[in-house]
Amino acid sequence: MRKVNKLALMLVILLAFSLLIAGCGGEEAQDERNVLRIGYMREIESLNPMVIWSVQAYEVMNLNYNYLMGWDEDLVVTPKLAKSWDVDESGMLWTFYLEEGVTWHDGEPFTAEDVKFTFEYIRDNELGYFYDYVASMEEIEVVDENTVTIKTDEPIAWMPQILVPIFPKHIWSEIDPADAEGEFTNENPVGTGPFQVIEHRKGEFTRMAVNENYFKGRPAIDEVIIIIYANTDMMVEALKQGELDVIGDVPGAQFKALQEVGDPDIVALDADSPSFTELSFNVWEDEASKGNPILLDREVRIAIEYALDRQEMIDVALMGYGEVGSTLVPPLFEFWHLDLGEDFRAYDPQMAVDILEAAGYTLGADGIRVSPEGDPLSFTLLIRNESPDNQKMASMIKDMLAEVGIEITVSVIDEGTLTDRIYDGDFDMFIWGWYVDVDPSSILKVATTDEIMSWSDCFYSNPVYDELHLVQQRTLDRDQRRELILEMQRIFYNDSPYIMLSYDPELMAYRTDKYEGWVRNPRTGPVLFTNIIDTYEELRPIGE
Amino acid sequence: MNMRGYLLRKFIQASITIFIVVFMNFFLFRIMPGDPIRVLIRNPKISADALERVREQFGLNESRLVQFWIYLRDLFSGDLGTSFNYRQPVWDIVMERVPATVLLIGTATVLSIIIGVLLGVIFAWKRGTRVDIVGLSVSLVLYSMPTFWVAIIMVMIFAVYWQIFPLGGMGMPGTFYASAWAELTSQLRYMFLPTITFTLILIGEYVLIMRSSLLEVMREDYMLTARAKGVNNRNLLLKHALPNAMLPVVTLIAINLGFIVGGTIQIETVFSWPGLGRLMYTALTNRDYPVLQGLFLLITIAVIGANFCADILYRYLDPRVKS
Amino acid sequence: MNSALVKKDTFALWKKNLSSFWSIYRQNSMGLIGMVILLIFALMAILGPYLVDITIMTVDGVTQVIHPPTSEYWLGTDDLGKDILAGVIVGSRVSLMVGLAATAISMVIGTVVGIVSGFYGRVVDALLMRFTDVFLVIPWLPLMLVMAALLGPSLGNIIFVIGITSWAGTARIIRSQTLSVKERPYVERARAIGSGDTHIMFYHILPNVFPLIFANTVLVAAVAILSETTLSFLGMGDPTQVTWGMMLHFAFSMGAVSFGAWWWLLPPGICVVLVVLSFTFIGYALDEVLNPKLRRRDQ
Repeated sequence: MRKVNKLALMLVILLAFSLLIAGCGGEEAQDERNVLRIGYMREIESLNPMVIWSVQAYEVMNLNYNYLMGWDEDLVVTPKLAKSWDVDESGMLWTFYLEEGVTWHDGEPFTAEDVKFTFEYIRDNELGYFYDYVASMEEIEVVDENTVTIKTDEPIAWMPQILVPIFPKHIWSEIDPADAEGEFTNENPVGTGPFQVIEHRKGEFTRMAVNENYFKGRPAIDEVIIIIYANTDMMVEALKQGELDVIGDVPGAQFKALQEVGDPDIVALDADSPSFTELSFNVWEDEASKGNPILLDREVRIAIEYALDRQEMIDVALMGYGEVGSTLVPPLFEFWHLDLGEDFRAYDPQMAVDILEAAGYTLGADGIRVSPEGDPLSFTLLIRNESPDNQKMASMIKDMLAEVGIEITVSVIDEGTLTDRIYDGDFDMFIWGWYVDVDPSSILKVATTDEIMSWSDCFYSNPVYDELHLVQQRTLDRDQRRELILEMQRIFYNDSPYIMLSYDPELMAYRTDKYEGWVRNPRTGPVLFTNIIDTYEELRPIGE
Repeated sequence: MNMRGYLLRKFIQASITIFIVVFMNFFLFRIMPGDPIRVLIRNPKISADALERVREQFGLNESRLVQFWIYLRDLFSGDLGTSFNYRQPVWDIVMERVPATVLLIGTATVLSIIIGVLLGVIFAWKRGTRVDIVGLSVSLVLYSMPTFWVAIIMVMIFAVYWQIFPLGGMGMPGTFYASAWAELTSQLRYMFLPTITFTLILIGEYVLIMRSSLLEVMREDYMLTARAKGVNNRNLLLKHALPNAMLPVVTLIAINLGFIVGGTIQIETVFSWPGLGRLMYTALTNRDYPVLQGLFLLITIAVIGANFCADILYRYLDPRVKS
Repeated sequence: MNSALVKKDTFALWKKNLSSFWSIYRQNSMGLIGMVILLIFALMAILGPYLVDITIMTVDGVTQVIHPPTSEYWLGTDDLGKDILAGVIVGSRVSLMVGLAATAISMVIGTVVGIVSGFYGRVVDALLMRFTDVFLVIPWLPLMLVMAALLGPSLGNIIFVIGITSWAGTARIIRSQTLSVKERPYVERARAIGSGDTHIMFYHILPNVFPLIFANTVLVAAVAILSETTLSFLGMGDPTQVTWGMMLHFAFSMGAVSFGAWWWLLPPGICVVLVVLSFTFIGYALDEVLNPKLRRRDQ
């Protein structure tokens, strides 16, 4: 019997001990520093700008390094490392005048040599995503310590928006280019940015300390910590309890809950983002295509668009967060976005039926339409395993298209496999999305003939569209260029190789009881996780 | 068979097993559908040169056999390859996560053995009574629960409903603590739920094994003799029955390591614990094959090693084998 | 001796085994409880589609999202407004099916390997057992995860992966039983009259190891169901199928924990526990009935 009593005693001690631990919360000392804690769901894969690809890794890079330029809320280009620039009459020779007295995090002076080195290093070694921006730079000359000229091989419309961070020559010239795109970890990244990474624990957190000598003025924040969460509950709860100051990438359901609770100290921000989700068809008119040839018929594609109630899809699958999509350039980029007005093919199942009937697709005995050649309108829709939202959308598409006599088989595969099948031309249709650059050129380029077997994922090919793309790329006049870009969107919409399902929002939430000065950039955009770092520069403790 | 011969035989067996696992590990990752290069390069627009460079870097341009040879050679020099996602040596990435997992697994294992053995002894001692029946049923129920589900329930009760423990993680990075004591208690608070959950999961089996093992031992002749000699119950239990009954527990610890690894993947996922389990989970979602491969190999070797040690320990401890 | 006679013998043996088995089994209360629970779930799986309105499972037309239980939705709704009760009932079908199919694969492999290994002995035995050891010792959740990730998300793959990773324990047990059976006089006799190896294995050894197979099946089934749940939870399941594991996966990833949505997290989990528990109970009962030491497969 004594044995049992001892055990009971042990249990009591254990219980008391755990209560003690439980009661010990909140003993953390008052932190004098201004630490901005950011919660995010996805990992920062690397600190090496040459190999990163995710939004969150770009955020770290954008804080650690600087571009030559930035943007204001209207997405008009503003000075950054370059205080001004001009272009000669040919439109091919650009001169950048750099800020004076800027130093790298390690105290070395920043000069025109660094700019020249960065662009040449990337151009000559074709490094990372940056290569696109420097590929057409023919000659880069250092005029003096603070002036650099760039000669391009043709006029380039998106100049001077060179989205390449400037690297210090004294560090990167030592790095073998193969390593730069390989195992170089860049553990102590030296840049000119407002913050510098001081501790990086993969999959856990990344700490950045303020740059006391930041050339645009020292930010009020002393430290930025991006903390990676494996589950959304933890992240949202941490924000609610004030452990985090801001969170991004919030799932719809939790965002809705945050909105409904209406904590006065928390702003739930449903911001526009530069991304969209599309239903892409295989319109490849080539022998090698393994897609269903019926989808080459534009009438079928438009009928499908009419048959889809996209608002309902957004309401159910995205909890109402998102906007019905229309053209390739999201409305976030107000200046470039084409408003279709009357021409938009809104939900109208009767219209879908009429179009199909007129085109000779008659209803078969089993409720599935058949083409004049006798083939059923039966397609496979590929969905990414990685996206539960897309899966919900797919099951709704299946139901909605069944209403008009089109049969859909949904197949869920993972991104790697889907990419493979796209390159193989082995698909009827799939759902995926794009993240659009500030300049619309790159998203429009995706649909050009040249991009087949490269960026293109619908194999769209239209010589008129291709020609317009080349012209707009060379048009430096912003208004003139706008007309061309609007026309391209109209052509693409008319041919309908994509059905734009939704323009996706960026759901984030931040606390307003500790810091003020949250900047949305662009105007309807998010406060963080864009290429623009105004929030970090502007944020200050309340009352200071 | 003498000890040395036994050792040698066991060692050869373990080595063969490891070799088969290495072989499987290599070819398993080569049968997957899709070109790994597509997963590796998230930028579809890459020049043919750059593509070739990456292929070379990851050894993807060689034939299968040559790849296997390179893989073996690298393995023996401790090179597990380079992560697709982090672009860093897999070995470094894995080693960074080992301490967190060892801390979690170690604490939970020790706790569950102590409590499990104690309870097993009590239930065996009181076999057939209500205590025994209730205890046995609870152990079976614990044993039948999906690990991740228990973890979720614990979070719901203690972190969401009562809010007395943190939801997960291993601490809030960049926090200032007033004292070492404050830091320690804060750490313990973060450790508490994952550890207790793990202990709950593991405990059922120890209870069951200890109980049945002790019952068996008590039926043995020498126990009856000892009892006849008038050794009192307490001494009988502590001096004679327990040491022998502990034997299966020793083996169970090793055999269980495979199960523990499975449990740690689930618990670390639910509690965002930054250890090997969570690394495996993120490697899975990122399709980071080199990390998966390396993790799988290291975990398997650890388990095989543990089994080998348990075999030896068992032989060393078991009086019947010795004589 | 003609083969018809052998068959008759075999059936007689099976029948005798079965009836004596039942008379002992029904005295075991644990076993009976397990059986009753299992029967209820089997009924649920079979009758499920007739019990619930399947249309509740489709995503449109429901406005009550993540709602606690009401008189209309007894177990509340999930993030798409789907009825949890309907999900649990429909899910029982796939969950049980996956469990049983995986078990079948596992049993076939385990039995074949065990009998062949035990029957032929020597090199065959040594090779097969080494291979079996590998599967016994490999930590199998990682193995299953890796395989599931490589093969891609589908129900068939999940079944295959669970089946292919869980046969080793069975093989060992069947082998040792085969070793003892093959020394028995009637096997010697069959060999003497010139019966082929396959014939002996199928007609003489299999019936005698069958009770063991049966008992082991139950334990493997428990493990298979747990595995399906775990794999699905970790995102390796087929998202177009409703299983208990997938329900838990979605509940967790959609934030049921922070909503305190117990009605979403508890029911599928409780179902898993009950089914696994019922298999475990039956297994324990069988263990007592059939007595020869069953080694439980340690997860």
